[in-house]
Amino acid sequence: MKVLLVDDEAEFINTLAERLQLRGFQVLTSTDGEAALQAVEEDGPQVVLLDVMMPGLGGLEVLQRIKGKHPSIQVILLTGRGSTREGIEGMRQGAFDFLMKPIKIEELMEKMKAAYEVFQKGATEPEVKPL
Amino acid sequence: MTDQEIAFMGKMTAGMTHEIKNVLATIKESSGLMQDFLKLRQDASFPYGEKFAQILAGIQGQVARGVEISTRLNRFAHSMDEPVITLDLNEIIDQVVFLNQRQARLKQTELRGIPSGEGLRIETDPFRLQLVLAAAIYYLLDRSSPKDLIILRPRKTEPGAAVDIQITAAAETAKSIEAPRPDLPPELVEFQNILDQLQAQIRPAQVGGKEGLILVLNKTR
Repeated sequence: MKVLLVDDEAEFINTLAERLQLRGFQVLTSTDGEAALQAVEEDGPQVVLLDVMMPGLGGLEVLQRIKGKHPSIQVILLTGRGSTREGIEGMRQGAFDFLMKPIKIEELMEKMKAAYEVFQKGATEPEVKPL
Repeated sequence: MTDQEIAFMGKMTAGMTHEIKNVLATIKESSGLMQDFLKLRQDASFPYGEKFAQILAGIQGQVARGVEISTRLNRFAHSMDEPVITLDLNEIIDQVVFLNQRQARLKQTELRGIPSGEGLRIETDPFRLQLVLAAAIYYLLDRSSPKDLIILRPRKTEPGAAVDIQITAAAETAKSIEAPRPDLPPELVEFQNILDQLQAQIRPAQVGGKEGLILVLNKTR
């Protein structure tokens, strides 16, 4: 599984990337929304872990752009708020699920695997295009 | 404080709690990565392996504690976003009890919220409500003895809701507060203006020879 981690906290995602690599994941990282969109186009991740609050292009904006162009890519949001409000709003906008920061690696892996299964299902279904 | 000043304070605090969480998240992943490497080297000769594992578990425990505190502080900060919202009284009491545990601990007293079995939705100012609940807690903490238990118990009334706040010996079960006196204790008079804004009253009442207070809220939704 190829996953893209997006968060402006570079030390956080680099460490998390290393932990996921140790567990067999293929991991890409981006520290801002623009770079994340570029990585989606160039490297084709199947699952994206996306921080909601980032400088510049925010997480929800990045989510909309990813889902608008690549609906089969599954996005898990990462929120630092004390409430679930942002995560639920993100799911309404097409996110697969959300996690609160800091994360539990086991929980993240479970959600990523579930997201990957949905990706695989979506990727095999032909896209319906308007006539 | 004006609503604008309260909202500003909330915004600043919320922003800082986000930053604290980012710091904690990085510490958590860094110590987690060290644990991963330690597991990979389990069979290798590393004389301090066990000690390292213990220390890393301690770091993870402190991170979890820090996360809980910053999450609660974040929630408190966001309670300043809007001057009036519809909230669950059980939830706000749980929050106030958590945020004031340290004050209780310093007095060697236990603080506990007893949620009502039914949802108690009220429309009020969440920041000022927490302020008067905390003021009531401090009033009773000043009158408590070590090993006492201070209980906050919300209940529905007609037409609103009330919170019974009482000192009880830790082993006793909370008793209903009856026959409250109408006068606000002199130590709480400074909060009269805030109580007026909340359309609320605080009434003193004795239970089993110990001090108690009732916060009466007149608006519900």
